[in-house]
Amino acid sequence: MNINELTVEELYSKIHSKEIKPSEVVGALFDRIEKYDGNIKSFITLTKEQALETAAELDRLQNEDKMDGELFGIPVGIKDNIVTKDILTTCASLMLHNFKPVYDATVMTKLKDQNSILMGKLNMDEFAMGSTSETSYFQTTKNPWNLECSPGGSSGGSAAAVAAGFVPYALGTDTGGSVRQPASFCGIVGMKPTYGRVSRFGLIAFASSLDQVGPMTRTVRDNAKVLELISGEDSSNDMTSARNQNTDFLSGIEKDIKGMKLALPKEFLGDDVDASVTEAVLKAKERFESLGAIVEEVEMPNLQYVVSSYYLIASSEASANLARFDGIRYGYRSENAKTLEELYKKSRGEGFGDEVKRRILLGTYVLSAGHYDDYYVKAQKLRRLVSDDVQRILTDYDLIIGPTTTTPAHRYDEVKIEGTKEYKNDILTIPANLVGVPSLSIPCGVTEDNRPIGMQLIGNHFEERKIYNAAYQFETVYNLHEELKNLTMGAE
Amino acid sequence: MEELDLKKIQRVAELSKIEIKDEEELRNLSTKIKSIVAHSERLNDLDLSGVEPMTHAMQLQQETADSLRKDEAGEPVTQEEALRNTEFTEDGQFKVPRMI
Amino acid sequence: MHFETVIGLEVHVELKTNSKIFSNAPLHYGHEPNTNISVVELGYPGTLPVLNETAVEYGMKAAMALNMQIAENTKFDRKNYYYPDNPKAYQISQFDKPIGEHGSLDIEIDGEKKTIGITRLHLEEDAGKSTHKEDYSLVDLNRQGTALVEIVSEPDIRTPEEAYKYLEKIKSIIQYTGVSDVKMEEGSLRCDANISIRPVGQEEFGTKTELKNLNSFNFVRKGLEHEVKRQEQVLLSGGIIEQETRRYDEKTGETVLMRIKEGADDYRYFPEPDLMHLHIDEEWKERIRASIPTLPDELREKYINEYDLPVYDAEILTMRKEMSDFFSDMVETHKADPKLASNWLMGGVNEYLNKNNAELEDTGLTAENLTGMINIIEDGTISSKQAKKVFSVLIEKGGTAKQVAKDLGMEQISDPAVLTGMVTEVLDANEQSVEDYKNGKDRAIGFLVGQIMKKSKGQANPKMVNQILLEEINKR
Repeated sequence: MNINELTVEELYSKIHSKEIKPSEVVGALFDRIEKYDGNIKSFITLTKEQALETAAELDRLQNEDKMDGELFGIPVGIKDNIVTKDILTTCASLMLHNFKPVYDATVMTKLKDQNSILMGKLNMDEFAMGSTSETSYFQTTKNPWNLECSPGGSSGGSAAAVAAGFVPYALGTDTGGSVRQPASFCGIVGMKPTYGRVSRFGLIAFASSLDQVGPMTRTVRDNAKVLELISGEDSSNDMTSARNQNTDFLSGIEKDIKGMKLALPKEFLGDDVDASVTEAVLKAKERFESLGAIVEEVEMPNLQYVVSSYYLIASSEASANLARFDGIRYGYRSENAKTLEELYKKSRGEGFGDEVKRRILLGTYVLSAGHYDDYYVKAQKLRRLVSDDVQRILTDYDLIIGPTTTTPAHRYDEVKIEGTKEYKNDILTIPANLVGVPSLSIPCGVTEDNRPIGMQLIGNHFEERKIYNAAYQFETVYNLHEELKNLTMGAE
Repeated sequence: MEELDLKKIQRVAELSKIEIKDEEELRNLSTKIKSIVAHSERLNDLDLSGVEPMTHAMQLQQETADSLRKDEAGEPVTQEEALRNTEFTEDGQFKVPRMI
Repeated sequence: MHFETVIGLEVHVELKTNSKIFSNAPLHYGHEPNTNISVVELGYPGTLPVLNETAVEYGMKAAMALNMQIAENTKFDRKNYYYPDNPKAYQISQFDKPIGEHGSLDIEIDGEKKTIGITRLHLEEDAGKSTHKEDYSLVDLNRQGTALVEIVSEPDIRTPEEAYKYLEKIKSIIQYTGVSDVKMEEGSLRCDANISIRPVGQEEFGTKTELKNLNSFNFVRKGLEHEVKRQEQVLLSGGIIEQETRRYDEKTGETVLMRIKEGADDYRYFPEPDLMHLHIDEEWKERIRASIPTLPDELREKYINEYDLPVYDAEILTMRKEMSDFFSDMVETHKADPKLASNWLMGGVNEYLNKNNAELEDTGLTAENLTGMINIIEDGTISSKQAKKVFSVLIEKGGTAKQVAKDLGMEQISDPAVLTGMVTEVLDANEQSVEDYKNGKDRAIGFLVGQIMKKSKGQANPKMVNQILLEEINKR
């Protein structure tokens, strides 16, 4: 039995049947992390000591048959923009290199309530701004399937850790595709839930109206289970969390999808999309049809504008969200500042990396007098049009399907693509964030050089159930691991 | 729309309270900003008159009389917790260079 | 050249909620620094605002009391600026959809009523407090996140005196609604003024300056008076008014330049993505409207018309709700004479409150007992002079007037049988004086009264003594 290959559900039943102890699970996974993470670089902080302590306590409870919690003894890794009480929470930034929060994020509290064991905090693009995990102040995470490739981002550490078998599941965050794109690049399952499905309290905000926390797992069932456990109203801490919504995603997940109507927007397979991706998605379409689903081509005419809209909105919100980092109450404080003005400018100038500065400057520009109507308001109007597009399609169809990304994981030796072309990679994941609908990325293919390809399933608000149902069925007819070669994590 | 030059980006940096070390950094930051702004000019091709801006991803949900937080005080953080993440404190307060 | 002054006032009022506007941190004035805060007030990353229901309702209440229309749909916005007492570097406020708009209030200037328009009232969060040392400053965030309403007047105010009256009226109206302590000395009411002057007859406004640090209504008046003079001097000497922020210096009585405004401040307002829009339906509005008590203007009219009180009395009695409640209770429940009740409240009671810097509710006085005291003065049980002693016990310790008078041994003897007995004894013992009186020596009466008072230890009702003495003496 390879503990690192076990899913959340398998671990749950093996711990409950006392086949294995929580401490054995934790120990085996730390061994694996210590062996390989020097190459993968997925963790920023490991919480080994606390994890072993918790595991020992859970061992005792297991022994006494007091195994409370749906995640009893199951290890988890958390993206480092989710605050953890007394544990370093850096956002992969020099700005927060020394920051120890005095409270837990709501999702963290929920996982602790289920007796999950925190293994550590995972690498990401600085303040979740980026799609390669390269903008991290600390390290660049590598793709466990191909060390020459990026794991994607911004939740690159989370995706890599799950793919590498360091943890059976992780939490990521998704503002414009940051869960789904790395999930796609690393061959795992990643969900961006409905906006408001999961509390954002304790998620260090990038773009408040777009951010969501989402589970990253190796199977669809695991994903549904974790989402069930982190969902739910949090009215004491978060006004934007949804109320009274059904969070039962597992029951009915196995029912057939005969007659389910899936829409494939033709813009999702446009010129920017790599041939390998198009091919994989068309195969996936056939697989869905073999399951009895009806797949039809539709139009999403405003897709070409979503990148602009997204960058203007996300950067505007970010410029305000990141204004609080001033070196006064926490975080990096420049030693070269004599005046208050210098304290601000130098702490922020030195503490933030280039990509973060770029987005703050863009957002400030967009919101400043004389530009607000030209950029910000127009972006919000375009957002409305995209929302109308999506709603129109979802009136006639159960789900929208398409590739998660235009290309598989980039290779580090590829010539860097610059400017908006680089940003355009997010074009397919952005609509779900703008509109607030749930979207799941699942593996649907592999390139010749062992790079996974992902497909996303987009549903209407609060219809995660339908997505999981379709994704689960797809998983029964497609197994990524039959196509993928072994992990190439260096030491193996 | 007016052209976005280095001077304007410098001004935006002032507004953002971010020190730009030198012209090289300014140029480096500006390239991408300019390209996104230029790309965004495409939004002008669309007729957006009469379209209501969408500010939240949950447009349908609104707070109403019964949905707001009740006015009950909870436990505050302690002074020690409040000041824990900085060494610049005095008399239980945050210490900064003198404000003007 | 003659100038006309144009003044607009921005009044900030802290709402008296139990918890902060966007978190459940408690609210207290004068606690240890940084102990009334949560991670929200600290501006910690990952924190989110959660709107306080009572803050919204208090905002509605204040707006309604100022005759405003309540928005059906309202929202919050971020106002961005960097300052150490503004920990998120944005203040959550309301920009283009304030909760209240189009209000007004009436003031009285030289007996004439004048209506001042109120543009808007919006909800926002208060900032922390800074203290400044030699070369550094200290920041206490206890005040951060306190629910605040900002009330912006139309530029309808024409003199510093009108500004003063406007502020008094706002203070009194808000105080009546119960949503704030409106104590300027504790900062729960604060005021900034915009002021400009223009030649009489000119349509367009002159360049305005903004006055800050106005720590009492008196300083508002004085600061504005000085600023009018200053602006006149500048214009008359051929200068131009700069758009600037000025501070009122209490020591010199002058306004001092703080900073020149270069164009408009760029606050980069945008809709707060962390808060949903707020829908206020009719039913909610009606519920709040029903909770607003009768406001000072209406009470004032009632006191003048129904109780025949002088305008001055009516104004003083309606400055604070506790006072008019007390008065109404005396008059309506305990049937006190309105003018006598008013005299005591405006006299003894107010004197005591001012001297001791106390509130009516902190004293031992009740409407019932003050009315009781007025009654025993009227029926002659105690004299006006004695009443002062009784009153000081009532207001300091409480109790009923009758009992207090009795305890102080000052209850008058007004029983005719007892008094007649005393009179008879004194007459019997002083036959010479009776004789003198009968012979036309009126002064003898004075001596006899003195003897009776002595016998009663000063407690005999003098009026009755006089009456009975004459009756008895004439019988002899």
